[in-house]
Parts: sequence; C-alpha cells; structure tokens
Amino acid sequence: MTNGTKMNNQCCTFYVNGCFFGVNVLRVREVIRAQRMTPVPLAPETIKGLINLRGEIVTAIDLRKMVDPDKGFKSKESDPMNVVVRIGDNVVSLLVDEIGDVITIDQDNMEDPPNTISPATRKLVESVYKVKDKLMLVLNVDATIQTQAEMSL
Amino acid sequence: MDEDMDDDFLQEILAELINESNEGLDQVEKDLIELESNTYSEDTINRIFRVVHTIKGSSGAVGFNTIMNLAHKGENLLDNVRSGKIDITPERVSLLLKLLDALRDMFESVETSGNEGNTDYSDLEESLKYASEPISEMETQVTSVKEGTTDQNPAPDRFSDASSGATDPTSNINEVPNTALKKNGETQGNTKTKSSGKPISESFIRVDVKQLDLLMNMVGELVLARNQITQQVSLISEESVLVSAAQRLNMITSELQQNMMKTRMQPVESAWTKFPRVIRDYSSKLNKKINLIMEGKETELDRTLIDAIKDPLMHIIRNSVDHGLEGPDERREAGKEETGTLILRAYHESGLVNIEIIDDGRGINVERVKKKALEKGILNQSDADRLSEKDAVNLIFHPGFSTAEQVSDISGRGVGMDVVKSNIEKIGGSVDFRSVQGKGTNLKIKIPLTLAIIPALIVTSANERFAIPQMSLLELVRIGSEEESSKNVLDFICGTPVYRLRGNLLPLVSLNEQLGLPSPDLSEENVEDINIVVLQSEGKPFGLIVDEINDSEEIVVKPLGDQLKHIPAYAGATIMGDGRVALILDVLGIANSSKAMSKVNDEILHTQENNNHVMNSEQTMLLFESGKNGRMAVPLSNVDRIEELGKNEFQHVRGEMVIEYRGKILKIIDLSKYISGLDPVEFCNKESIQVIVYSSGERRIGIMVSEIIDVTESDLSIGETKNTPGVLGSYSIRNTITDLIDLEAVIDMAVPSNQKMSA
Repeated sequence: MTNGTKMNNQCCTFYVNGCFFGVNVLRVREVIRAQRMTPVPLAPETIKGLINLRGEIVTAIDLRKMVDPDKGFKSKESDPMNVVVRIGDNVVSLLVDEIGDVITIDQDNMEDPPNTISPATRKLVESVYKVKDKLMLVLNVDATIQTQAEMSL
Repeated sequence: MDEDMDDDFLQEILAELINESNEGLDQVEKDLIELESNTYSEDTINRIFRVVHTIKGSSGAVGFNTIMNLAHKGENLLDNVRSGKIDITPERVSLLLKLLDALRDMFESVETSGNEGNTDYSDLEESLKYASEPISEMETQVTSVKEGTTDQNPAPDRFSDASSGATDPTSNINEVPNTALKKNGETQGNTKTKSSGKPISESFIRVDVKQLDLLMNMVGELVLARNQITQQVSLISEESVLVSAAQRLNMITSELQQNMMKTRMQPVESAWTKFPRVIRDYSSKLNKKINLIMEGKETELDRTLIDAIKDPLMHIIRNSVDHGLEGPDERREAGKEETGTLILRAYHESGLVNIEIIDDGRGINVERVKKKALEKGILNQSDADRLSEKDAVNLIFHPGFSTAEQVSDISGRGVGMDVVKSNIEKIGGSVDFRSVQGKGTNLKIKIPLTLAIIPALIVTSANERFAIPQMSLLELVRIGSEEESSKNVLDFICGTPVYRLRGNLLPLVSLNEQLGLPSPDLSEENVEDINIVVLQSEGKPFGLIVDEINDSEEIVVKPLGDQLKHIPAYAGATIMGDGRVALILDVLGIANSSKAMSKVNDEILHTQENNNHVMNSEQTMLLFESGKNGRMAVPLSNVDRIEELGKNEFQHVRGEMVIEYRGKILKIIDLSKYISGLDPVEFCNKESIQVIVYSSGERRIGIMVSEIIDVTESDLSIGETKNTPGVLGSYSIRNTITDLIDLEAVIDMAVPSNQKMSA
C-alpha cells in the first residue's frame, strides 16, 4: 500500500538547544503545548516530571538535558512543547524547545553524523539526513529511556 | 492478501482450540484426582469422557493427528469405564493423568511452535490400549454381574443399582480385589452428583479477560473524572440541576465501581487448582502420605491478585511437603497419624482476604535456624541470644536463607521465602509465620481485596502533594508549637529524632529529607507545628514528618513508567481532583531507605529489652516500709493481695515462718533476709502483721512489711537501675528514695522453683 510507505518517510521535526531533530511520524502520538507538571524528587535528572494527558499519567523527559547535561528546562524560561511518543507499550513525552514542520525525507540524502555533535547527542541520534539546507538528526527514541537506565545505574 | 486472511483465521481457531482444550484438561485433572480418592461418580466419568472426545474431534479437524490418536485411545478407555466393561483403578487413573500431561505438552508445543512436537507417544498409546481391556477374570465377573442388572434397570446409574439391588451381586463385587475403587459408597455419591437442572451454558458467558481489564480501566478514569466534577461542583452552593446531576453521577459511579470490582473477583480456588495434583505427585515421590484439605475456596479475590499469589502459595506448599511434613515412619515415632495434614484455608476478615497454610509436621527448629543464620553471617551471637522465638522463626524470610540439608529439586535453594514475602508485600499484603517445634507450622497471608482503587491520605510536603495508602496508616500526631516545646517531646537516638508515643519510642523520618528536599532542622529550639503521620512497615511503626496533612480520598493507583518504577520511595501515581498528578508513597520503601531508622530501631529494641522489668509510663505502685528506713515499692498489678494477719497465726517450722493461708501453707519472708543492706522487720510489739502476698505460677509467698504506706502513680523517671539482686532500682517517689523490689527474683530466692508447695 503506497500510503504506508509514504508515512514511513515522514518526520515530525523540532528544535532542542538549537539542534534540529526529527522523529518518524508513526511513532508520534501527539504534539501538545506545555502541561502542568508534577516533579518527581529522587528521579534521574533527565526526568522533568509527570503530566496528566487526558487521564493518563505520562513521564516527561527533558530532551534539553539529555542533549546538553548542563542545560535543562527551568520553570522561568519559555514553556517547552511536548512531543508524545510511543516506546513499546509505553508512552513518554519529550520536552523540546520548538516544533517544526512535518517533512518527507529522501533515503538518498542520508549522511554520516557530523563530528561537531557532542557524545551525549550522538547517543540519541539514529541517522542523519540532509534536508534543504539543514541537517536533520533522526532521534533514536528508544535511547531516550535507555540512557537514563544507564545513568541511574 | 487471501493467504493473510486465512492465516489469521487459522490463528484464531488454534487459539480457541488451545484455550478450550486446556480448560477442559484442567477440569479433567481435578476430576481424576477426585476419582482417585474414591469419590466415584457417573457424572465425573462422563465429563472426562466428553472433554477427551472433544479434543479428539477438534484436533483431528485441524490435522493434529498425534493428539487425535492419543485422545482416541483415552476415549476408548473411558468409554469402557462408562459402559461398565472395566473399573476405574488407581493404575488407570495414573495412566489417564499421563495422557493428560502428554496432551498438555502437545498443546503447549502447538502454542509455541505451531506443531505437535516430536515426542513419541506410542508407548503411552499401547498402555492405554492395554488398559482399555478388562485385565483379570475378577473384572469380567463383575462385568457380567452388571450386565445382568442392566436388563432390569435402564437407568444410567448401573453401579448403584448393582450395589443396592440384589444382595448377590453386592457380595461378588466385594470379592473383587481391592484395586477396584469402592462402588458400595456409590449410592451416596450418586445423590450428590445428579446434575442440576439448568445447563450451565445459559447462566454464564465467556468474556475475554482483556475486555474486563479495559472496562476496569475505564471505570478508573470515570472515577477520576467524577472526583474532578465533584470537587468543582462542591464550590457551587446553590441547588441547581447541575448540582443534583453531579450527585447522581457520584452515586452511580460508586455503584458502577463496586460492581465492576465484583466482575474481576474470582474464587481463590482458581489459584489452588494445581495444588491437588502437585501434592499428589510430590507426596508419592517422597513417599509421604499427605491429606490436603481446602477450606473456603469460594472466597473471592481480584484476579490480578490471584495471579500474584499462585507462585508464593506453591512455594510455601512445596516447603511444607518437602521439609515440614514427615514421612509415615517418622510420624509414627512421633506419635502422630501416619498421614500428614495440610490445610489451605481462605476467608474474609476486616477487609482483607486471609489465606492460611497449616501443616502438622515438624515445625521450625529454632535452634537450627539460629545456627544457620549465624553461619551465614545474618546475625551475630549477641543478636541471636536476644532473639525471641517469633523473630527467630521469621529469620527464614531473610534472603539467602535455607536450612534444607539437601537441595531437592522441589525446594531448598534458599531463594524462596524472602521472594515469597516480598511478592506478597508488593501487592500490599503481609505474611505472618508461626511454628511449634514438633507440632507444625501456620503461615498466614493477608491481602487487600483489590489494588486498583484505594483509600489514601493526602499530605503536602515542599509544596507538592503526596498520597499515602491508608492501609499503612496507624494514626496522626501533631506536636503544636504552643504546647510543650518540641524539645521536650523529641529525643534523639544516634542523631535521629524519636518521639515518645504513649511510652513507646517512635523513630521519625522527614519526608522532605527522604526526597532530598529542603527540610527544617528539628534539633532547633523554635520549631513550628510538627505533623507526624504514624505508619507501619513490616510490623514496626515509624513516624513520617510532613509539612501539612490534607484530606482522605479514594484514589486510582496508576503505575509509574519504567524509568521511575525502581525508585523505592514511590508505589505509583494518581490524578487528583484538580487534574494534577500526585505521587503515591511506598511506605515500605521509605522505611527501608531511611538508614538512620534501622539503626534507631535496633537501639530501641536494645533499650526496651533492657528495660523489660521497668515500665516506661506511669504505673500504680504500692509503697511500703520494710525495716527501719526501708522505703520500698512494687507495682500494684503484681500483688495478689494485701493481708493483715494475726501474729498468733504464724508458726515457725524448720527455721521458716509459715502460715496456713487459703488451704495451703504460705511461707512468710522478711525481705532483709534476701536483700542486703536492709533492716529486719520488727513485729514484736504488734498484734498483727501486714503481708503482701505474691504468686508466680505455682509458687506463692507472703512478704511481711513494717507498714503499708500508700498506693500512688509514678513514672519512675527520676532514679536509676541497680544491680543488687532483688532490687530493680532506686527511684524518687513522693520525694523519698524508694527501692523498687523485683518480686520475681525474691520468690526465686525464697522458694526455688524445684521446691513445690505442699497442697
């Protein structure tokens, strides 16, 4: 079915710390604006808190902190946006700076990750595509929870 | 595309087949075990036959020929039993059980790999074929008897007619060797097993468990939404359609919730199904005779909990069979019946489901347990000496503990009981273990009726709300700043604040501190109101200090994501009435992670043990004088009577002063004889003498005193303990230094326990 193949190549994009990321649309459940968050004391640094998504309790992961451990969303700054993604049976919300468009990627434009990205970022990157005049880093969604497991060990 | 659809269709059929077959086989297993213990019934045989027959047909239809052939052989055997050609013997039952296992294995293989597997069952088929024929002349004799009676009575209950009809057939049946299970008792069996009027298919329907879980989830959401609406509407004071509609919504939701819970309730029997078979197999393997009694199997429990307790129960039962219950020889030597008893009992009590597992076996050998614990370094010698019997028995719950000399494949690997305990505590339950050496053990498990919606206390700390399950809640205490300053009421042991609650020391934990949030220093002079939530964890109470105590609410427990599951302080999360998320505290987790608390608890145990004789709170004391300047006291509760006895009633016998008292001889003593540094009681110029009568078990003494002064309350706060035998300590009572007498020690000195009082 041609529809399926088309969706496979569409990415929902967003910005984190100036980095341009994309996630396959099939993995994104929804995109919503900042929600009231309940912080979780004792949780790993990258977990900003819990949000109430129409009755479902979803863990919010601070992508900014994952990309650059020194930064992170602070309550005084502009509110982050939530990109709610599916990971296996679970659902997780990624906190990002700004939402971009939904774009179609061309397999031919796949490139190697540039040397300029930090090791922390590299762990989160699945692949890189050239899009118009920018480089889009395809986010490795599973790594957003994995790295924490490593971090909490 | 078509292939895909066929595939899906086939998958569905297979799933259905496997499901139904397994259910049928479970029932067959139950029935076979019943048959074995001599409760024969026509209905049972028919039921087993139908299941095997169905399996034969349906597996044949999808091409599982091995299953079909095996089932066919079984069907033949059962048919012959039905028609009376052969009897049900223990050997045949064992064979049918083997058939059952084989069928189960093949279905499992179908489930995992889509085919029947490679095992060769030709031996089993042969055995079944052989067993389908009458095996001895005796049997054919019985057969002919039955065939004789068939003509008279077309009713299906052939066997009962054979036994209750003409006398001759009955005596013939008696001659058949003991292998035939008794049919004489059949008459009773038949009346019991007549099938009830309505076919079962009309009153029940099958529902996919996933569907029920989905419904349960939705009801949970509804409860949350209802909470939100109720909260908002409560702000509206005037009566309106909205308010009354909200009230109706409230009622309906509560009822819906209750009834939804009921659908998920299953009788605990479903957790117990495997046990009869397991026990039968194990006990024959170990050559032990065990009688399993199951009481209260209709007691209902939420199905998620039933799943959770299956494994722990199995482990406990294995332990009983393996280690607890003795073999027939050992039991006979111990004066017990050769057949050991294992009782599984379930019942509802105070909002919890109680499950007891009782055996009349060896019990726990406390010395061996202590020894093992020492060996494994779980305790040191002084701890072991101080350990009460109850605590010693509970050592088996320690990780890595196992006193089994041989690790059998059944149990004894030392990974069992602690996992059992933690599994049960995970679902909010508790385990209590009692044992009498030589007599048996009693394990009691308590579990809450349901997990999903629980009553909880909401507290606030560091501006965030937290929920504490009411199950762990003992009481709430507030130390107001306007009352005695916190300095008087809080003590510090090993640097940890402790609160004296009605004489008992309660270790305190600051929630803020545990969560790494800013918290006030309690050792400061001017601390504001302190709110303490007294909680219970593993039977030991502790106090959780929070900023504010809010309401009690019913909350829906939602699990935390994988990333947060491992944090011991939290048990889950919930959505409050205003839509915000609140974390649910895990009481056990908080108790465990507060290291200071465990140190404090040890200290408390130590001090309380030392203070065994001394009471902490105010006590009623009997004050008296014994000799010149001998002010003394004893707890009034210990005193039997205070008597005033005429001097002439006293008699001197062999250097002792005795008196006839209530039909027995009572020895009268002067404390100065046993306690150093005291003056003797002077009674020469008195007509009567006051005597304090004290008894301990069989022994009784009368302590003569110079004067009984008064009865007073004292908390013994000012003073110290002493090492003088017979004297517990010296305390200031009513501004006079008073010796607190150790009555037990005195009676030990005056009437050593090997001396008996003459009747």
